[in-house]
Amino acid sequence: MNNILRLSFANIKKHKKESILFMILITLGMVLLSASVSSVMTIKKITPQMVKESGCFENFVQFMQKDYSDRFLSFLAESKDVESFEHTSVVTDIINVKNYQGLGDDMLVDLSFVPVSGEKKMEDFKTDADFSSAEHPIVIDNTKKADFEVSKGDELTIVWENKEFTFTVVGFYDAGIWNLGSKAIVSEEDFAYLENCMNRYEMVGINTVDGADNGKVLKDFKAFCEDLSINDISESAYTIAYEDTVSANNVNMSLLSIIILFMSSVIVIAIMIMIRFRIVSDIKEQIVSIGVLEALGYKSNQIAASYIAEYVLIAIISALISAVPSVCMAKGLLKNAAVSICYSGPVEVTAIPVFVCILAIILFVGGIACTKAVSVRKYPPVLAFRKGIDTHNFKKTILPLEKAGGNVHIRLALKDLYRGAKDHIGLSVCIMACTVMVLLGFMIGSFFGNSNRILNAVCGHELCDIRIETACDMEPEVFANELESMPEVEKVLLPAIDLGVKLGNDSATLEVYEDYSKTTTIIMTEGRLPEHENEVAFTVQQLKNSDVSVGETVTLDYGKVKKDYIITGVVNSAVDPKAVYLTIQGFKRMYPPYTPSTFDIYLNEDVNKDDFANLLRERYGKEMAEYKDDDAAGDTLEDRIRNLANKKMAEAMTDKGVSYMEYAIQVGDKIITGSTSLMKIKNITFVRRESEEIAHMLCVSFAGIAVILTIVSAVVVILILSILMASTIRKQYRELGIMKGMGYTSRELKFQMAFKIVPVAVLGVIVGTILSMLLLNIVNVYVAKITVSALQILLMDVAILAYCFICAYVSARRIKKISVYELISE
Amino acid sequence: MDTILKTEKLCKSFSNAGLQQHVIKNMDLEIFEGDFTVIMGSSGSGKSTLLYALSGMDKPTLGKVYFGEDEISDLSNDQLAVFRRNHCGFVFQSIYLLDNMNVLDNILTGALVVQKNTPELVENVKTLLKKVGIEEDMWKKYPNQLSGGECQRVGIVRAVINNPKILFADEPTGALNSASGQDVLDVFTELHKKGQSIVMVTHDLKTALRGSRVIYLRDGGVVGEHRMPDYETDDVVRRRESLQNFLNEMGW
Repeated sequence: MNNILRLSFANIKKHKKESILFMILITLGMVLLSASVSSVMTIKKITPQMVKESGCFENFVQFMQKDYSDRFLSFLAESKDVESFEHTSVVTDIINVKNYQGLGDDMLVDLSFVPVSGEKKMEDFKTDADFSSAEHPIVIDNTKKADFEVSKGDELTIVWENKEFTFTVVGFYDAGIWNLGSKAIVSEEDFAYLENCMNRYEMVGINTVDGADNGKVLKDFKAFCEDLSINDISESAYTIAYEDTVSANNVNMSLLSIIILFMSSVIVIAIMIMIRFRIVSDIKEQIVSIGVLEALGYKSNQIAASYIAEYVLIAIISALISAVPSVCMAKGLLKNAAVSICYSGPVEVTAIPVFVCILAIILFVGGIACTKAVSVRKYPPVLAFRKGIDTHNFKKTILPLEKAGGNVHIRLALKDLYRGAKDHIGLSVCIMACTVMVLLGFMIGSFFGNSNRILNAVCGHELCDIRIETACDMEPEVFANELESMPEVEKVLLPAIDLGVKLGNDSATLEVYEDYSKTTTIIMTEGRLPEHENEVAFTVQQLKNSDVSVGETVTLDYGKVKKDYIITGVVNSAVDPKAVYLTIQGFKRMYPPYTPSTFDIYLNEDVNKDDFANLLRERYGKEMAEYKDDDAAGDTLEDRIRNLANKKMAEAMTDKGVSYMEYAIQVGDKIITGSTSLMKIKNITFVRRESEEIAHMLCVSFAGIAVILTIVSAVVVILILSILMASTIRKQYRELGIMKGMGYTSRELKFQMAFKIVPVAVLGVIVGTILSMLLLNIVNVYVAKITVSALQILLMDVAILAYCFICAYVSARRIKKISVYELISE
Repeated sequence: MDTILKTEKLCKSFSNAGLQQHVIKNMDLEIFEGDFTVIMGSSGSGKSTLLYALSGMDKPTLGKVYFGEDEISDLSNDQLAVFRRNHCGFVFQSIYLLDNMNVLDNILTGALVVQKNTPELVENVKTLLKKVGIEEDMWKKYPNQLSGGECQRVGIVRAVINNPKILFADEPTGALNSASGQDVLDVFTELHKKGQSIVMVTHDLKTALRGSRVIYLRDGGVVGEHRMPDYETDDVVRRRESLQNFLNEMGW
């Protein structure tokens, strides 16, 4: 055994640089593989842990406040499957959190606000916050502490729809799974204020008894509520079963780990190739020594074992180096995953998968080394002295120089390539995998590098500049024409929003436009958008869920009215995968009284959106929420009366559905009159701007992933080519020396060595490009219509080839050190 | 005769475990065009080291080497490679054919780095191969399918295919049996007759007899030189005596 290890150490010492590079490659593979496997396995435990620690309910049903009734809860009270339940109000909106230190940009977040009493009903709310210590206290979850750059006692200002509110941060807490995006806890008084100007929901938390089917309980509960409700709540009531939450969280959290797992698999392939290549090179280089050792009485198995031991030793050293970084990286991945679902509690890395992966790589390395090292047995001493049978070449001459047409260096490189074609298959596979990583990274990164392009590709619905929801009855065409006649406006579309229909047993959201030829960001993957009242378009996912295809007829159900529609096309929509697209006339077949009350305004290019919104306010009155915020203040009594009257009318219009009001108030001799005729706007939304801000955050994430993929690929390629070149130079030391003696310069020989990998790289890049395109097609079907120009891909392929060539050329620099004199005087 | 190669104060030393070993010491030497110069000397006298310093295979530690009027000792490795392929041919004791290439490819590998591939070049290779006794049936064979003598003759063709101004040979018959050695030496004699400048290192008397000028080295310096009687006109016995006397004088 000692002799075997001595031989192994001698080999490692002799090829120090190669061994170190190899060690780096194995370490990189071990760290990435073990960390990603460990995190993927541990991630599954985070959501249950989050529920347990926060004392949160497991299942939820969310209602729009206008649809909710306490009578719904009677079902839960009577159900044998329900162990406990609670309910609370919550408001939510997309808001801007002002940067606390005044540095950098404001942060756009989807934030929910919950009153303290509600929060305490839904989970344990473990916090040391003192709500009486500030006028407007707020408690935010620990994961948002760093994002908002706040600590206890700091002010936190939120801005939404021209409104601003400043809280004082009084503490932090660990949130459970019940939240819509991120959640902040506020006092009852502040909640009452926010309730007036944000989207309001009622949240019901349900725990079932052991063994009960959560999905069935929620479905039955929703059905009960639908029967009881006077409104159609089939779409607005939203059930969230525990299993679905866990599954969705696991998918979200695992994404980065899975990408890293893919990278590590590429490295493992590279390790396999390198071991096989190096052992062949070692045996060829040391064949005479092998003969000598055999002549001295060493068994061929012992010599083979020394080669295996060499790689196992390198792998063991790599394992020792990688153990701590693997655990740290796994911890980092888990922490990142936990933060992505707003869990800030402790995440414990399961060490067993880390060590199992490391051990598996050591065994893998040993196994691969074994498959090649046993070839030593083919060389008995005499054969080894004669340098093996490899030199007795009786094969047909390939690419004879006699017929060389052009550059002799290229011809020689190709001859050499053919000779070692088998050795290069692995390299080709490796370059192919790297090409896939780089191209996908590039395509996703460059495509999503532009937030506009993201929106146009993935949203699946229209992105107007300004969306107005009107508050009172009016002739939609007349109002649309009025808006369109303004010089700032390019066009006005009339969509229907927040509508849902039933599609068989499933549900779908409705996108309704009068004329789809005027829409711009609804991208088709197949067919066309509906033009007639009996036509419908589906999203890719909806088409797949419903198991139908273009040309088939489907039945839609709105408010118990069922109508058949022909599917005319397929839309790419990542934002709302359950959308179906109808014309207004088509929707009116199911709901004849429908009148559009929402107006999508597209502005000319140079128009300032805020200025135009102010112009609308001047012309059509403030938004309802602003009237409702007004107090009875004013310079004169008349002003105060008018403000109060407007406030009352706004409340009646938004809360009671009143469409028109007038008032006449007599104060002494004076009669103050007014009406809702100048209160046309319920709400103004900057649709495109808000979407762009969210898309910008996505852009940063995608760019990050693209950069990571490219860097890892670049490192893998350079490591592989360095090891490959070093091994090749050792293997061909004699031939290279002879060529130098004949007058070939180091530069020419380096070119030959580097050019040799070009056809291999070309093959890898071509196959890699095809695979990337296939993968991109899958992405195109399920996520977004990513379009990349063929020229860009071609340029990337050329860049990858150039990179491989340069790496190989630089790695072959050791040719320079080959001395003809040393070779001759050996 | 014109000088083709010249050394001035040529020194070559090697460092081994921190110890300097001076193999060639301040050597001044001229090699003449058209001469068949034979370098002899005892083992370790610096014969091969001198040959490789003269041929640009290795760089001197000190001193200068001139090829004609051009100094080659200050050239970079790549410049030396270009010099070698344009002006020199080499025949090695260990032959050093490329195992993975057949006879034709071995020769063309050396030729195509200098010349373009033309039918004339291929024809020239074939003619030369025939001249040295390598017949057509061997042209597609690999080195391991040939005898040592055949391989060395292929090596000679490879060395002369670019019409080098000077041909260097390092004990070209050292690895061959007697009959093969004579065949190879006949090829050298033939080349010399046609005006080829040759520098050959040997410690074999029979091989040295083919030369026109013999230089004797000892301890890294030239201790004597001898102009040989003409190979064609003088009989072998007289040549042998002449060389034997010189070598005896040198203490060989």
